[in-house]
Parts: sequence; C-alpha cells; structure tokens
Amino acid sequence: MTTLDDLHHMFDAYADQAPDGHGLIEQAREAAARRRVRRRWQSWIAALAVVAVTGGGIAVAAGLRHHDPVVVPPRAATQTTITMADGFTPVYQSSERDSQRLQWGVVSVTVAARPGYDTKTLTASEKLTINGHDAWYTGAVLGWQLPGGEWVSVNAGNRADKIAVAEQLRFTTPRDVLVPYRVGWLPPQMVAASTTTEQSGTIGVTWSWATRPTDNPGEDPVRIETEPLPDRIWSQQKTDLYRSVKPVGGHPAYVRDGTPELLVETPTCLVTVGTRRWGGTPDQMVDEATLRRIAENLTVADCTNRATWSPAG
Amino acid sequence: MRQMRFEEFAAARLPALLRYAMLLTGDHDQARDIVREVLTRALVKWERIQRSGEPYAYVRRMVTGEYLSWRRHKKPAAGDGLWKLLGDLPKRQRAALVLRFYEGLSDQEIGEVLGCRTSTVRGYVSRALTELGIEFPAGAPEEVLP
Repeated sequence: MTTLDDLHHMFDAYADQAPDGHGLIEQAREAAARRRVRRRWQSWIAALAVVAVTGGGIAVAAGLRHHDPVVVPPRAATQTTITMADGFTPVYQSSERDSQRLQWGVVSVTVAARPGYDTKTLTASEKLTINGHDAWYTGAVLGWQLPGGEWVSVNAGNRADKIAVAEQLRFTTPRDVLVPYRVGWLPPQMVAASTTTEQSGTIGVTWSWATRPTDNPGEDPVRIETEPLPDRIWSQQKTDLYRSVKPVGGHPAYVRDGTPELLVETPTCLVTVGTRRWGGTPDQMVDEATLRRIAENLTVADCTNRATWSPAG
Repeated sequence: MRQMRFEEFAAARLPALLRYAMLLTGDHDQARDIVREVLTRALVKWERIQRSGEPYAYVRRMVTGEYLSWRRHKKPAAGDGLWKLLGDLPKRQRAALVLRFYEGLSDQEIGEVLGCRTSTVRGYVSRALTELGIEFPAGAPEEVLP
C-alpha cells in the first residue's frame, strides 16, 4: 500500500533531480532590463495614442504589445462569455479583467486577447475544424481566434480530450456571474476584479482598488466567498478550528485565530469575507473592522436557489 | 528591517525554487523556464516584493501562479508509478499536494497561494491522495503535516 511516507520520499528524491540554477539569475537580469526598456516605450507610445485618439473606446494601448490589432470585447471582470453545452458542467471557471478560464476534466480552456504564445506558430500548425470554424493544433495547444479578437486555447489532456472539450464550448455575449448576496458597502474606490465558480458550488469574488488593479486575484485586498450549506466539512471544521464571534446580521459568525477571515453562517450559505494574511503591502489588505463592516452590509440570499441571486460586482 | 538585495535572495533561494518548480512540473526544462520567468518578473518589482516581508513566500506564489497558467503541454511523466500518477493529476491538485507535503504549508496558507478556501484545499488534497492510492490519515489536516 502506498503511504504518505512514500510520497515524502518521492518528493525528496525528485526534488534532488531539480536542474541547477547556473546562469538563471544573469538571464533573468537581462530579461528584466529589456522589459523595463520596453515598458518605458509602451508608456510613451500609449500616452501618444491617448493624445491621438479622441472620443475614446478604442483600446489602442492594450494592443501595443503585439503586432496584431486586438478588439477588446466589452466584458467586465465579473462577466463571462464562455460556457459549455448542456450536460457539461465545468469543474472550475474563472473570470478576470483580461482573461477567462474553464476546466473540464483534465482539460483547461483559456480565453484571452493575449494568449501567451506566438499565434503565428499556432496558425502554421495542423488545421482542424471545430464546430464549423478553423482551429489549429500544435500538439500542446488547440486554439483559434474568436470574431471579437480573443484567442481560445485548449490545454492539457490528449488530442481527443482537447477536441472533445472544444466541441462542447459555447460563446455568448457577456453574462454576469451571479452570487447569492448583494454588497451594501465596500471601502470607497473598490471594484470587483475576478470571480471563480467551482462545481462544488463555491463562488468567489475578489475586489481590488480601482486605481491599483492587480495582475493576480490572490493579491486583491478583499475576497468574498460563498458555499452552499449544509456542508459536512464545515460542520466538522466549525467546532474543531473556529470560534464564535459577535453575530453578523443576526447570523452566527466565526473566525479562526490568526487568519484574516470572518465567516457568516446563514441557513443555506457559508459566507467568507477575507483579506490577505501575508505577503501583502498595506494597500493589499484591509483590517478586521473593515471585514466586519463589509459582512454586516451584505444581503445574503438563498445559496440553494439561484433565482434569488444577483450579479457579482 | 534590513533590505535584502535581489542577488542575495536569489543566491539563497534559487535551489529551493527550482526544487519546488521541479515537483510542480515534473520536468527539468519547464522548471528552469518557470523559475527564469518568475525571477525576471520578481526583479522588475523587487521593491514591492521586499515590502511584503516574506519574499520567499511571495516568489513561491509567483512560481505557483506561473505553473498554473503555464500553457505549455505537460510532457508525459517518466519515472516510477507514484511519480507518473502525480503527473496525471490536475494542476491545482498537484500544486496543493506539493505545497502540503513538500513545502509543509497549512491548508490556510495553501488556500492563500491558490486563491481558494481551506475546504477547497482539503478537497484538492483529498482527491489527489485518492488518485495516488494513499489513504488520508484521520484527524485534522494539521496533524499530518510533515
């Protein structure tokens, strides 16, 4: 029988086979220097573009990093334009300002204006037809461009897996991610920055400062998560790991000492209002009083009845 | 607090980052590529990383994020049975397992790295252990930390 000791031994053994770092720091330093120069140029060109383009609405600066012009679709960070055919439920789906992700089985799908690889290489590879449109398969990625300019990238799994999932993808106009609550108060200048929806029913929304958007939802200063109740794991954790604090909106509330989260238990929802615990600069965190004020101003609906939910953000 | 230069940090922590990336990716080349990319980005915003007070945790989270968003195809895992099974796990499950049983993080800390709740972390770890054929010991998660 395989044991945890076997796992530890395996990790140690394979970690010992890690590559050496010879030359890496120097390469990183050179690349960082090039990036700094490029950023300076981008900011100059973007500034010129703003001057040149009047009337707004054209994301000129956003298109400067690559040669191809990209029309950024009018999608908010808390909206999605990707779903799957009836009968297919993603295990995980997320939306951010610049990208959307979806996972089904081992296959993951990313939709982004900047796909993170050379699209010329992609379109020079094997051509396929997926649901009537052209797509290309490199062996690593199955991808194609949407009419709005974004690229769909289907990763992981084998070729058949990728094609099967790609055929079940559906693209829509932007739809709000729904959450089982309404936000009544947030610190001024805070905007919804990302969402995650898990098959288990857990839905997360992160909030960042409008003037200081982050590249990573994990760096956003406020996170609100809900999961449907009853939940066996929560029932156990509640008594083992958490302690009761002053109720929120008449509902039992809990904290776990040393963690930056306030949990509120309604009859059908467990709502977590949290911030970062470590690794953040002061503007990436909010204090306990702020977390409580956010929680006290939430109007929580029925986690088990989507008809009662509201748009995130 | 004394400011740590990037070079000092990299010299001290590069081997650990490469070992961690190796366990995430299962591949020498991808581990090097990910760490190189993360070091490049870390250099650009080193001041901010320093201010976090925990630069290793910060950079490790960057490595994790890079791995999770890495679009390059996973190479088929070579090696023994357990290593091959690990290679077949979904990325988030694999990351949770490595963070838990190699890096020794608590569920709460893993949740912060992966951007999810502790119960979700427990789900990832539990499903991953099941896939690997390892029975999860009874008791609270902290009790089985290495």
